[in-house]
Amino acid sequence: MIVEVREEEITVMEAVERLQKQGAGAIVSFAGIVRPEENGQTIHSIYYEAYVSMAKRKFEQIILECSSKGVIDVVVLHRTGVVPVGETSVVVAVSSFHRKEAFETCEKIMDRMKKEVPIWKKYTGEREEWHSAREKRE
Amino acid sequence: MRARVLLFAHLAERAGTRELFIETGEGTTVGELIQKLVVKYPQLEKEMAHISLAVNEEIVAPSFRLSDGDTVALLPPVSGGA
Repeated sequence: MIVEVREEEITVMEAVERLQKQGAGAIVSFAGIVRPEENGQTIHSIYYEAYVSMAKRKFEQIILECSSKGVIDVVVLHRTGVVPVGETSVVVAVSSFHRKEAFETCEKIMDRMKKEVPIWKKYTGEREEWHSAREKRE
Repeated sequence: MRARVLLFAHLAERAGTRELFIETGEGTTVGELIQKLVVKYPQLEKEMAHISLAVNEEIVAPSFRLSDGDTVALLPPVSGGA
């Protein structure tokens, strides 16, 4: 598996190319893109902060626990720092022998990432706000 | 003993620091350490009900007993992805 939590730009193609080298029959990829609007407010970018070492460990644990039989390999890339609207902030790509397990594993990894991986985002635009500070008021 | 404490996101902004060290007695629990922390940083007190705690990168309960040199991370609700 490959897990990277980094400031540099990430792309789906980068993740897919890494998996293609391993002769998979199916590759499913997901890209999370920064939207121009969050809860009715225009934003310019999202600033991501991570507890990088723990985030990597947590991703690795989630990948191991979520990879169903038939999954060959997984690539997870997540950005940190400022990610402008329209750019990719997270990529999950899964290779497998058949498509079903790749779709399922990709979705499970994303679902658990949202709940467990120590990464936080701050919306920047009309005003700045940490998602983590807002969530508890909802 | 001495514990290293890491703060993130809005917690770090409110405290004005991302890393600090707290001297405390042997066998102190993470929960007791947090009580010490909020005495020094009262602006964090209201946030403590919403955090998770990690010691050396593993999630723990407030009753977890610390050892010298442990790293305690205060984790606000996570929000990775787009």
